[in-house]
Amino acid sequence: MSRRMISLSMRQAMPILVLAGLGACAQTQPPAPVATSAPPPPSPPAVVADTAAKPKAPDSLDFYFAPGSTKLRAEDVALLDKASRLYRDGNPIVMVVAGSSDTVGSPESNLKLSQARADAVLQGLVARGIPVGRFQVLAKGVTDLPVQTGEGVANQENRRVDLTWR
Amino acid sequence: MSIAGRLPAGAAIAGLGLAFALAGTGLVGTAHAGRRSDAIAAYDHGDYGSARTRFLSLARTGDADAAYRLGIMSDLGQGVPEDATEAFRWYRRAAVTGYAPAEFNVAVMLDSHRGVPHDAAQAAEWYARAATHGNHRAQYNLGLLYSSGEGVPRNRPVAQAWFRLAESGGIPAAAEHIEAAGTRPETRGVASGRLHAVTPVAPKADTALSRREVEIVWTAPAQTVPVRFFLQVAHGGSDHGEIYADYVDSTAALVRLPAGGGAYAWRVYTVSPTTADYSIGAWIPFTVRPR
Repeated sequence: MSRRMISLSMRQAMPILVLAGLGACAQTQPPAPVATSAPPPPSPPAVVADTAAKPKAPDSLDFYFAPGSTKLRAEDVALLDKASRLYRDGNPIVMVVAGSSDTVGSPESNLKLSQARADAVLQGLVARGIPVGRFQVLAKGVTDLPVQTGEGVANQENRRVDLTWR
Repeated sequence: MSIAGRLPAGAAIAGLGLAFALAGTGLVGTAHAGRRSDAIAAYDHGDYGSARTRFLSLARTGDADAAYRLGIMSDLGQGVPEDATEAFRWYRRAAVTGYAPAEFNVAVMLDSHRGVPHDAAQAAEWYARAATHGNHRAQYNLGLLYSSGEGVPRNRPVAQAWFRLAESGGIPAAAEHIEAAGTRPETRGVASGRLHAVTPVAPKADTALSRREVEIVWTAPAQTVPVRFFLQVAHGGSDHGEIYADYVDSTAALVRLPAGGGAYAWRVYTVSPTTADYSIGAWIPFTVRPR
């Protein structure tokens, strides 16, 4: 199912973005207007403490790959399980799965590689029961590299899939 | 407190004791249902202001689904500033009524310290509650907690039981955790009659419920021999008043309550199926308000 969604044309070496069934969920809401009544009596320390005390879950996970490989490593299973324990039910939150590759090989083959890597992560998340409609899959190939390098450089940082959500 | 001995002859042996039933969502008639569908329509059209007003009004009447949706709106900043702490409060309000989607989200937020401090033990309880309603992601995540011993005792057979439920419910990743049948616990050979009793989690002693069913949750340490659990729920906490008795491989079950309310109690036997040795947990009393 997910394979069908991301099997777009790979002749072009441009990044490919697939929106998977987002519907009304992809709307961005402007922040709610702030009340413009008279300023409250000063109590800055309490306000600061309240904001600082709010715990925040991480909002990105990175998966790394061996050169030329689209196979998840054993340790990535733990990362997928972590994602499973972050994703709340019923929330139209979008998870973005963005695959990259290093610059060894042709841009076309690297785009294909980055797409297959993103697909591997997507499969792992769907296998954990996260609805497939909650993903954007982005195959970036060698465009927008995490670490800029020249051609033919096998940089480990670039052989990866970034999973982010909002 | 536990007593070791032989399994009573009267205890029926049955299959897996997870009863799945619909959660009480506070639906009370067609007028209410109409108001809810109006609210959901407003939400789906992105009219968050109107949806929020309607959900607030419904939540005041005890509608768990409305409270859950208010949680989502605060969680995502829809019509209100994003506020995970406020989202958690709404999810929890829906969860305490037994609304499974909210129970799952409460668990995830406790598990991932979003909006609340990290608390794996409480997360495990809420995963277990959601799991009794057939939430397969909850079953999978609880399997992970029992595998690693986060918030619950590390217990491979219990983790396996949760993974099997998740796998049968359509979570393919659970299959990778399932060991071949006949795999034994790591250590064996300890004298029989020394089984550990379970630790009761929910409902706690002397809880008062006004529900159609009760999610019963316990934790269990790893045993030296393979065991099953035998859950008993009884009116007045005596064998004569038994309303539910069944074997369970996992560590939670949903039990339907008779109408009319009254004083009940639950307890769990830890049973070795091979030797019939067992250990009995104490009765945990709770009351049910008539409805």
